Amino acid sequence: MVCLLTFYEQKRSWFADLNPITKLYFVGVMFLIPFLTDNLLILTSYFLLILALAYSSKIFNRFCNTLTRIILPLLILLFIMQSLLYPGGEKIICQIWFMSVKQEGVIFASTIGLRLLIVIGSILVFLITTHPKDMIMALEQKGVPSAIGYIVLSTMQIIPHMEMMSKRILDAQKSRGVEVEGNIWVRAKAYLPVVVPLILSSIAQLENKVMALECRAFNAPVKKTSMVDFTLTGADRFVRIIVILILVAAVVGRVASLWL
Amino acid sequence: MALVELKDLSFKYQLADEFALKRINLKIEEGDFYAIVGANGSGKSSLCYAIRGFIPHFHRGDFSGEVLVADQSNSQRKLGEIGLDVGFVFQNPFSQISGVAMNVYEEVSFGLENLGVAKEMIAHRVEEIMTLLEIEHLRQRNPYNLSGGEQQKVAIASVMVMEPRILILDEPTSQLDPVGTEQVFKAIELMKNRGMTIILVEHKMELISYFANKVAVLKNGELLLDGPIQDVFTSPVFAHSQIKPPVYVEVNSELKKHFDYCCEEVLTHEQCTALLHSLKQRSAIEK
Amino acid sequence: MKLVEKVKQNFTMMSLLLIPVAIGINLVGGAIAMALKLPIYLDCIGTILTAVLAGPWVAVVAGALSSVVATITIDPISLPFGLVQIAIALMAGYLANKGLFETVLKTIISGVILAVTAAVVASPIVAYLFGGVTSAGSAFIVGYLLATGKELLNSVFTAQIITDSADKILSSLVVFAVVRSMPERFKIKFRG
Repeated sequence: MVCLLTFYEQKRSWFADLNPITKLYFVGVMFLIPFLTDNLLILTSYFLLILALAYSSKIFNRFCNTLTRIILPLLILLFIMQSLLYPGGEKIICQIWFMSVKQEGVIFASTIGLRLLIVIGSILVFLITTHPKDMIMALEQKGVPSAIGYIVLSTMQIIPHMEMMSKRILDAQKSRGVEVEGNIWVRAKAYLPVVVPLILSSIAQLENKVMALECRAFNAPVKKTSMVDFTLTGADRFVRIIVILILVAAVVGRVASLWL
Repeated sequence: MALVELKDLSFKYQLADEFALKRINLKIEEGDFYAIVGANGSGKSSLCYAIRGFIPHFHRGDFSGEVLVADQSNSQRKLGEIGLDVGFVFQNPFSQISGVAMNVYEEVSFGLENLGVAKEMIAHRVEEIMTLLEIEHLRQRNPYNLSGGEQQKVAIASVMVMEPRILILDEPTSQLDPVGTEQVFKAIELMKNRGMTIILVEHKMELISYFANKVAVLKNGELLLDGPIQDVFTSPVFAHSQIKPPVYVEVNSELKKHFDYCCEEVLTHEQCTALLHSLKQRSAIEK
Repeated sequence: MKLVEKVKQNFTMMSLLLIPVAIGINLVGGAIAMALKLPIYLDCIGTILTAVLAGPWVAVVAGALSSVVATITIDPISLPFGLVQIAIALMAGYLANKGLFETVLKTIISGVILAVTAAVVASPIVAYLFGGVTSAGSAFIVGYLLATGKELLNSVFTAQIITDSADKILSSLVVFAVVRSMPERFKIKFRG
């Protein structure tokens, strides 16, 4: 079992097999195009595109579960807040008790909500179909400094370990008499005796870690061997072109709508 | 020419009051299994750091004298270059884990990847070292989930796969249980049998007398004694070392007070047992 | 060329390896807060600590990568808040340089300044990207302020200041406690 904190699910599909950078092209475009339009229909179609992609990548269930878990509470709060309280809203759709649902609020909430779904959704599709190590190695091949890749990967391995350590420290401090139940001041005072030892013990190891890494030629001024091959396939080129065309179309559409 | 030579080496850490190493002169020949012993704080780790170049390149302070590895002065080489000649295994198995390997196979390959070695060569060397150190069964395991002894074996493999000329081990078993200790010493034995030049800092004197051919005794940063282990452990100066010799040496010196026999070398379990047998037989004959 | 030299100098191996620990603290610190049922995020402790120990530039990398790691491991919503992390890194580095983490009182002042910094950078993100909503607690405050007729950005800013003050003051105090307990021989290794 690998102790890695990630959304990744190993399912082969045409999308998952693409070069990670190609997938990032897709994510990048999906970051930009929702902000080039206010049209709710267009935004909805973008989101449906992402859903279709998730389906054809065989990750539909996991995608929907995760997306719901992450965004649904936010969306609910957003809709409630903005439909009822949108500042300056005048067109009233309906009345609930003493509160009135304003059309501008609903539209605002829908726009924001769809944009969030598109942006977060595209990131999720990427994360569920790409192993973090593949992503980092592809980026390193493109010139991202290997130190960055090292930092991200080793952090992902450290986190489960740190969480376990924090639980141990919490238990140890509880048995020493630190109070963790009670009012907010009591609980806040318990924070330092847990976090400070965690930080100090993690940092104490750093000196040894630096020396140990040096002993593995970490700082060697040569190009590191890449254990995986990332040549671009025809599918990669195709997807990249399509995705760029979508972006261009969106930009043109926006410029056109501003002119007319 | 000695593989490692320390000439008048002195060093004081940046914020320390005392010198950690005082005018050390030492020669280590190729193929030696050199043990470094001494009380805590006597400078054993500092000595190892100096051979590897961590002093003065990583630990700053007052440095004087010279450290020559393969006839080149450490002060004039980069840390990475020295690393090609000198491998180092540390006390703490956990902090040696790279943090970017998903399994032991990748962990062992890590150093070679950093050196830009070709893929096929990496595969070949990793397989070879994993077979030699008997850790093939661990290849898919996550390094973080191994026992301390297994982690140290992986650390040794990860360093040895880079084919250094010298292997330094700084108290590799002090954080391990007896099972782990045994595993690590088996691995060290395999390295010794390959003719590796090994420098081992250890407190377990009986294991030292089994493996090492030479030993250096440090006290308060000074080199008290050095040379072949028989000479060092039986030297009268050793009594000042603040540490105990292997138990067999003590048994031998006690027995010499009561029995008359000449200079038996008693450093290992087997030699001690043989001596006791021969003394028992002599007693039986004399009766 | 002087700035580039200064930046490069700060990135020693020690400060580089501090970053994963800092990111870990950012992410786990929040989890501990949840375990103790404290209603604040506490996701900047590592970034502030890095700024104090190794300078603003290392802290910027730590903060930026912190939101990247948070995005790919627990919550993709963290990504845009990388800007807040970067702002905190720069401000904390500046404050540390001026000696504002040396006493408890000065640390609390730093906490307040950092809270304002965070609120200033986070508010536009929360208002225009998230429509004013990040968590139930702050949404409640924002909603209340909207109901009194205030504008969205204004309401969000006020809510952020309220939640960020407790957050950043406690975070700064944690950093103060850590730095004070750390032996000097360690601290010198982080500066270039």
